[in-house]
Amino acid sequence: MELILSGLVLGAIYGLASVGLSLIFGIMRVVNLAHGSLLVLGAFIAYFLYNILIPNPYITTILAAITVFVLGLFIERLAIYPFRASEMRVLMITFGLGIIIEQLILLGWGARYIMSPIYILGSIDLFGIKLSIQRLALLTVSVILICALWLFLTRSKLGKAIRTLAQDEEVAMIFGVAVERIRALTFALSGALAVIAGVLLNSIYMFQAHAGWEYLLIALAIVIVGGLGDIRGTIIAGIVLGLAESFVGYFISPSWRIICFFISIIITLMVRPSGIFRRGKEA
Amino acid sequence: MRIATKIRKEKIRQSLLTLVPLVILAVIPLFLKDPYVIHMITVASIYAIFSSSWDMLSGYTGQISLGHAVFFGGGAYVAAFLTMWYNVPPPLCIPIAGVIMMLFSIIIGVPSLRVTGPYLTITTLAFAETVKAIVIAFPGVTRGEEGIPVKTMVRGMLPNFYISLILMAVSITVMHFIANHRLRIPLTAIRENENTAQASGLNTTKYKVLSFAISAFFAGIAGSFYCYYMMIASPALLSLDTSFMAFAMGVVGGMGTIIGPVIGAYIITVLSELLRSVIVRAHLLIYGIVFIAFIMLMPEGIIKPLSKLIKRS
Repeated sequence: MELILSGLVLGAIYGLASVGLSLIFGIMRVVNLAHGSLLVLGAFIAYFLYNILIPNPYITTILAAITVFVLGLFIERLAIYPFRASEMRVLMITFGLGIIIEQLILLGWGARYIMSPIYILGSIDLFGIKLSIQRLALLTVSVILICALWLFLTRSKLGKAIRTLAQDEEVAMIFGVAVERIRALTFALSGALAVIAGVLLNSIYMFQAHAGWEYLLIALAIVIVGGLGDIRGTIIAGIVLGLAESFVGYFISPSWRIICFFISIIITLMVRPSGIFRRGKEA
Repeated sequence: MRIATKIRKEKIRQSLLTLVPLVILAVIPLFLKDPYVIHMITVASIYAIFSSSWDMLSGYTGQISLGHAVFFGGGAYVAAFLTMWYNVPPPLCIPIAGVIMMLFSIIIGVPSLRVTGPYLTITTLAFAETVKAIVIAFPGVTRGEEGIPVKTMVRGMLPNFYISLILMAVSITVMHFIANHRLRIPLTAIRENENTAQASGLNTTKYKVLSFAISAFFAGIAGSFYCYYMMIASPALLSLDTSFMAFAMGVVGGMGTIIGPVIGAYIITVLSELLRSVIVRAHLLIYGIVFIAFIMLMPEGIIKPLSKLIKRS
């Protein structure tokens, strides 16, 4: 039970972290290899603000998310939009950005490990099973955020515009969607989501400057298993792989988690390149 | 008759262009006795092989690999195991490491080269990180993060310097011959448009696996020599940073040219050493910035303006 709960928590957070990546791919046809670095950067900013300025982890998280949101706007405008014609070139640029962000973190904070200051001690008994409040709270927060995101994408005008754009750029333009603005906004939004997921994750795992690539890989695995650009698939895949990680970590060894994510990438790409939960489209 | 002389002249010019820089590099130790400079050039030569081998795959077929460190680090580990456990003499280990990496690349290339574009990039990235995770997960065999200490092949700076230079010259010549003469047409066809290439009857998978295998062979050679030179085979050689180095050198020098990454390797190595005094901790930051600047402003790399300059003179 403990295992399932921690798996669910991880899964929900992973889902949150991966949705952004999936959205970016759906809208811009860009695989953002800087995603993991942005996630870690956000956690570092939140940690830094907490220690220096405001000793309130919730406010710092929001501030970090806003920072990365703005950063995302700039990155999209300066580094991605001008080169959108060439998919591989954008891919390389995001990779370079990932390296730069990672190195900046290293330069700013060194190679130390950080842990998010969000923690709630204690546990509750549920039918004789001990459940930590920390995990339950994390689960609640991520589920609320996922639901909010879902409502935003399906109900609000902006969300609908984003989804239209993901389906067909020309049609979206005809219906008066400001394509350029939405692109930048999506990129920034996915960065902000990554930051929130990063801070939440950081309260479970310790982060170091290099951690970004690991989480990038995890997010990529989830997005590929769920189907690139498919939001519902991404969230389901996130939960499934989060549970898988939790079981693999318990029964085999925590160092095997990357291996298990990798195997899921390979199998999915071999069997159903467009995602497990999707009707086949392009490979 | 006139055409024949023209061709001969062109050939002489081309061989001069490759020989002159090589001779310059070879005589550097006569003038600069600084061991640090010699060390730098040795490392750059090894990276030149590695980066060109990356180019053989990614530059020519357009399949960007972010996991090339697997073959570099893999070659290093193979060499380390062979020398430290079975006492195989190092000069023999280097080609063996290359061949083993080649076989390894065929095993993983056949399934994974079916996917293309960003999917291949993701697969290679994931693959490299996984191999690294496996190496760290079995500390009993690989000594985990610490790495395996290896004895050197030859003692002294200068022998290593010249071996690396010769190894580089031979490897680059072979790769240049393969990529720009033997396989030029199929590989370029795949890069320009894989579907069209396939439609006109080209077995694209065969050529992709072939270039992958050759590329892995030379990466393995570079990696094994590097491990003898540095006297250690560690997980850092398998890391993303190592793959990124090959990538950055290829981009700076010029992808899809084999010679370009060689130039890139020397430029980046010298640049980073010069700037090391400015930024101590994060030397990859400079690579990252240079890398992005080149992709944005000069995607064909430095070789394009360079060759124009040479043609004019």
